[in-house]
Amino acid sequence: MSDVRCQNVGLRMIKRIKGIWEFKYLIYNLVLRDLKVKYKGTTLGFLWSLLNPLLMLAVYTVVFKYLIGPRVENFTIFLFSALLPWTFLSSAVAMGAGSITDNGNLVKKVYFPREVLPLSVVLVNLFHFFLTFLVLIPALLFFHIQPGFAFLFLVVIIFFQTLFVLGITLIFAALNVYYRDIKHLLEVLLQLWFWVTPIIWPIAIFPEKYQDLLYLNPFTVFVTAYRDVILKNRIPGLLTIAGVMMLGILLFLLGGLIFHKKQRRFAEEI
Amino acid sequence: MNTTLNAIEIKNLSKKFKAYHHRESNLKYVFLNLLKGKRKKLSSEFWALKNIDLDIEKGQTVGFIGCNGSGKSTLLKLISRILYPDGGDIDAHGKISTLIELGSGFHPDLTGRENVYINASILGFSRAEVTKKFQAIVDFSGLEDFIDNPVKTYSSGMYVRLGFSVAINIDPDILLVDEVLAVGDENFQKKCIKKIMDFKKEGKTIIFVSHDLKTVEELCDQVVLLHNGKLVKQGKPVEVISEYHRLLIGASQLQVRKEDPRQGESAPKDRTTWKNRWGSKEVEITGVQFLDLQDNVMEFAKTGQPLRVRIAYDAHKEIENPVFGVAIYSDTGVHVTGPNTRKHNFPIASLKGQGYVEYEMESVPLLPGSYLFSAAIYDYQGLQAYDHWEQYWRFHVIESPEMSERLGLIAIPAKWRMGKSEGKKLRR
Ligand SMILES: Nc1ncnc2c1ncn2[C@@H]1O[C@H](COP(=O)(O)OP(=O)(O)OP(=O)(O)O)[C@@H](O)[C@H]1O
Ligand SMILES: [Mg+2]
Repeated sequence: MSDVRCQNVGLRMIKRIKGIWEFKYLIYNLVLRDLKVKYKGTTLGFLWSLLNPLLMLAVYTVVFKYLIGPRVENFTIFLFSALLPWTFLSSAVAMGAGSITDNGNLVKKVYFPREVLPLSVVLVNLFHFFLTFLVLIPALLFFHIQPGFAFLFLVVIIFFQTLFVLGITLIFAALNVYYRDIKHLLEVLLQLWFWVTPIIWPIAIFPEKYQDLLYLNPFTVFVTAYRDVILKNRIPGLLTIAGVMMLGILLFLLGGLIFHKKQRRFAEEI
Repeated sequence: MNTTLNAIEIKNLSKKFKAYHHRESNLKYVFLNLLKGKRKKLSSEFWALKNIDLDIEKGQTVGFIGCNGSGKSTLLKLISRILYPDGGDIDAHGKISTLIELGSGFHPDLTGRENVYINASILGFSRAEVTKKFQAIVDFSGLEDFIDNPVKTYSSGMYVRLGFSVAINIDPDILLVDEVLAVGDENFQKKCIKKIMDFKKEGKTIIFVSHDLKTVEELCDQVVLLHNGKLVKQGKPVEVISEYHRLLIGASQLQVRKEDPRQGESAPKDRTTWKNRWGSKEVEITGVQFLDLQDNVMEFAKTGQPLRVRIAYDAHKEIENPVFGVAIYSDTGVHVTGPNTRKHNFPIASLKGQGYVEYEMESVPLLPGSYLFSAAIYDYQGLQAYDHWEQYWRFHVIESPEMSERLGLIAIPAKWRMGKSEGKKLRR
């Protein structure tokens, strides 16, 4: 009985993904639109999107290097390797939460798979994430870290982080239709999340026996994976990799399910 | 059942909405209710559509009509999958597209060209299809010269035209049209109607929602009447439209009875506060009745048949040489006629006390529809109003069996004749 239901959910999911795939050209156009609008009329164009994380990095480095720096070697790269993935997550979720409500006019008038809207926001931010990574490479060379074989694992980590980010974005985009203050709550939550995640501080500042607790925060798992590869140039541990994959898949399924359930009434609730 | 003949099959379809008491999509309420430890129902629900059964054949043009809020747009949105049903099923065979004014989806900083591509993809076009259709879209909008300017530099009319051109150049099997033809100037409207006619010729299924009953009648093979979320009648345009008129009359009659014990008097609005009434009130109009020749109050007038309008007055003092005037306006505000007793050489020497004046039409020239009626009493020069009620009464005209004219506003009593011109050229 429950087998049949599971199968049905699976089938429906595949059908849904197929339906979204049919609108791939729309996704492409929405991503392109966001990028175009962002850089239209700016002479420096894409450089701006690099400037922002660079500036943050500079500020944090100056401020924290002397506070925390002594405990961490290679502080800039240490910061880099977690701050960039974090920026991907936080800006995608913050922008994506309003993706349905901001496009209310379209949602009310035209049928298209609503997943397209948060998805394109996530893809835009993924694109920016890639761009900022381009900055990382010269920085690595500058700090005498040779990208090695382990760096191939970045592809895996980024892929599952994207699923993770997409799942969260879907959840908040859907909830924001029903509760408009979610967007404001989200800003606070993201701030909080930033500070409880070992992004600008090392896990090592906690006593060893409490360090495991930090992994209750899912983003710590991602940070650890990124740092293993970028900072230590080694393949992350099995547990970390498994955690990254599980979290990615779990949030993706959860977000997809919640969104799918909630989207039935989007057009009338907006 | 042969499903291939039906473009759309709707079975037992129902849709409910939340009727908000106040805006509750607010976390505060959720938390408060959690604190109180109960899940209080925040809003009540109502059925916008209830148990709709409807099959629409392939290639048919079907009109949906009904009062405001009867559920027409809701039904269309359910068919196009924008809304989900709360009961029943919809089967649609073929690619559905809604003809909508899409300008709201434009991004002001992008050019017309870029926006066309984006909007077309929102409607589900593939890249190849957009490229193929692009020139047709631009041609239809007539905005060739502006297509590479950012749309924020467009006038609002241009905005609408471009948005609409994208939508109308789609190539669906089933086309849904919800009151968008009012968009743009007259020329553009004609273009749109023509395009819909083309769709029709190509054998596409079209569903057309409009309050413009004339256009509905011209375009549609079948009409569906919705009322309070129920499908009341489905059939030939003429029949369903006259049923709709009857329904409208029924609604206003009920109102009359509720507010005014003098039954049959068509006074739907509150008389004392009606702002379109003015005059010195030495003589007052106390009521207007629509009667047939046997003095029966008419439920509705019929085209080509007699109608008598009785204007009752009460003169508080003696009034000399008054002039009675009436006026008829179409639903769309066109002033159809405005006769008075002076122009018609019907002198009234004086009025005192109560009485009535009647305006009798031998044959009502008005085509079926809803009309507004004004009545007034003036002094002889027409300068001073004693009592003027502007567009206060509403009456309805339905078609009569012997009068089948449908186009325009009035039926002019006229004859056709023919002859031979015997070599002489007809002067143009
Ligand atoms: N999103 C919504 N939330 C709550 N109620 C709604 C919503 N959309 C429509 N309704 C209600 O459903 C009913 C039917 O609305 P609908 O828009 O289908 O009417 P309609 O026949 O298209 O009217 P009109 O001629 O004015 O366009 C109305 O009572 C309306 O208030
Ligand atoms: Mg409507």
